[in-house]
Amino acid sequence: MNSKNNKKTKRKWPFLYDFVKVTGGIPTLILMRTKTFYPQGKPNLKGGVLISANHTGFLDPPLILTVFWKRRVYSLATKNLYEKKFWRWFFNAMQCIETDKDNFSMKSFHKTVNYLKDDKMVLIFPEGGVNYSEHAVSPFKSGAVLMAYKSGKPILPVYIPKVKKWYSRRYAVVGQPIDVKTLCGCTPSMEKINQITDLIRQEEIKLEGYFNQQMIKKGKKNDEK
Amino acid sequence: MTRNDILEQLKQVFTIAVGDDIDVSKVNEDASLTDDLGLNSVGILYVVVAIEEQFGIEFDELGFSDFTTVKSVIDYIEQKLN
Repeated sequence: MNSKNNKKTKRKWPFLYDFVKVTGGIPTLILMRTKTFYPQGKPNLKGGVLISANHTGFLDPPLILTVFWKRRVYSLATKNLYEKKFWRWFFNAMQCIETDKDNFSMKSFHKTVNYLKDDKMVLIFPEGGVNYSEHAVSPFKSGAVLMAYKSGKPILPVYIPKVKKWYSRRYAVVGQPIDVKTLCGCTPSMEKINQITDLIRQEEIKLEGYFNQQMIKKGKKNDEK
Repeated sequence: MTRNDILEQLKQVFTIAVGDDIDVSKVNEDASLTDDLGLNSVGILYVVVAIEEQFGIEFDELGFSDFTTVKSVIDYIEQKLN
């Protein structure tokens, strides 16, 4: 059943995804003027990768698209976004993975794992929603690590700085892929999974620190980013 | 595989999931996953992933609220194995 599905997703050309990416992506690139930092060098990203980013707002998925422009990035999207007919159609066309935060289903989990096994890039916000607090990176839920463990694919930590205005220049700080399967070992305990989740969060906090240093060097205050 | 065999294997999974905080050996079919075993949504996801590996089955389109007690998990595994 799974291999049948995998073959199907590999063969199908996501025409609408590519159409929206090209027609909507160019204005987005101009609007966001995204600048990406690679503190430890640009990672070599081939095959399936689970991008783990902090969530600052609804423009984060298109921002990530501009960062990884050469690849298709598929997002996990909360069930609430699917309530209106148009958006349901749109998110399905964009091949997003519908998730219910209150009653997470195994369908979403397996779909994400299959995407990763199909060598796709998947975006997840492990904070579980937009972070409106003053803290840049809230505690993470461990689901992302379980998805990476099950698929055998790495997690790529990405830090997205908050911006005051929607039209402000956007930044992203990209870390190095973390091989979760190697860290987990054969039968990881829940404690181990939580430790790795915290490790990924710490990586994103380090990326935040790097970004703040860069801004200080450039003489920009935090809220003027 | 009998229900008892499934329960014994599940206890191994629960032991890894909850650690030393709860005495899993006393867990029976009526035990609640959240109240008695203290599992949150991620904990249940962990248990499901572990069960899939242990029993070689795949959980389908079920949501986590479909599993409230150990009995509901055993019922599902039994149905899948048969």
